[in-house]
Amino acid sequence: MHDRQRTPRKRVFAVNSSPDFLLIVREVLADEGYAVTTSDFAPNVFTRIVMRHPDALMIDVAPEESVGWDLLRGLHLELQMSDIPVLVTSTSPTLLENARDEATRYGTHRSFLTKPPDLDELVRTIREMVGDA
Amino acid sequence: MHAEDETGAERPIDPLDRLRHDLRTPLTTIGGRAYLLARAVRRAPSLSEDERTRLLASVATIEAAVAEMVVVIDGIGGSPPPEAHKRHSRGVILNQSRLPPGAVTHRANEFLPVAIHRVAGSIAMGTIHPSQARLLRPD
Repeated sequence: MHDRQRTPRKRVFAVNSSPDFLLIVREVLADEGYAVTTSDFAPNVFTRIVMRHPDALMIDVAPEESVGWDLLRGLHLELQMSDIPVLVTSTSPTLLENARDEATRYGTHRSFLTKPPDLDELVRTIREMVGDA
Repeated sequence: MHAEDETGAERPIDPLDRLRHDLRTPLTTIGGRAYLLARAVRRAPSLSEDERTRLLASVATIEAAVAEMVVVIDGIGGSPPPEAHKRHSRGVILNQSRLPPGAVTHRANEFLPVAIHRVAGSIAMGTIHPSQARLLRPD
């Protein structure tokens, strides 16, 4: 079996409004040995992220939904959290471009993935983000 | 406020993005479930190689249909996709290179009734103007 069984599992925290997407992400990443926590856009999600302090974050940005943007901004401002690698997902290429521009303006490194995603690419990206590549 | 000061959430977006979001969201579920199904089929010890091949080919047609539907969705509105669309759609389109020969079908047609229903609903709600709904117009 993999060495990951003997070492602490890397933690991934995924935020998305779609329960289906979260379930799929959980199944795919858990199968790769990651400890996955998921959440919708609940008001306390930022607190949960801070308490969990994951190794990688997946945050969705959607049309007419501000929570994802608030999280990205909050993570940038929270010093203890600003070093956590973030994968930004969206169904909208336009919103991903906006997120890319914002990351550039903040000087933060982010990864980006359009939905529906290539899930093999999602796994590869998460591996790179947590240093498992 | 200058445009460069706007946050991502505050920038105006194409009103059709809402429609694209509504169409891409169920495709994300379909594609994701197909991925998990393929994984289960590959690992199922009780399947014969013939059964496994046939089931994986079926899943591949679902993935192909999802990829084709994404192309259709990106074409909503009639304008060619900008560079950003091409770049971000790449992951999905690359899926086709993993498919066995002949697996790429025209299954997108099966999704069109659903898409047309969504477009019609968006027009009824005033989200988009009929002139923007290329799906409802013959070529």
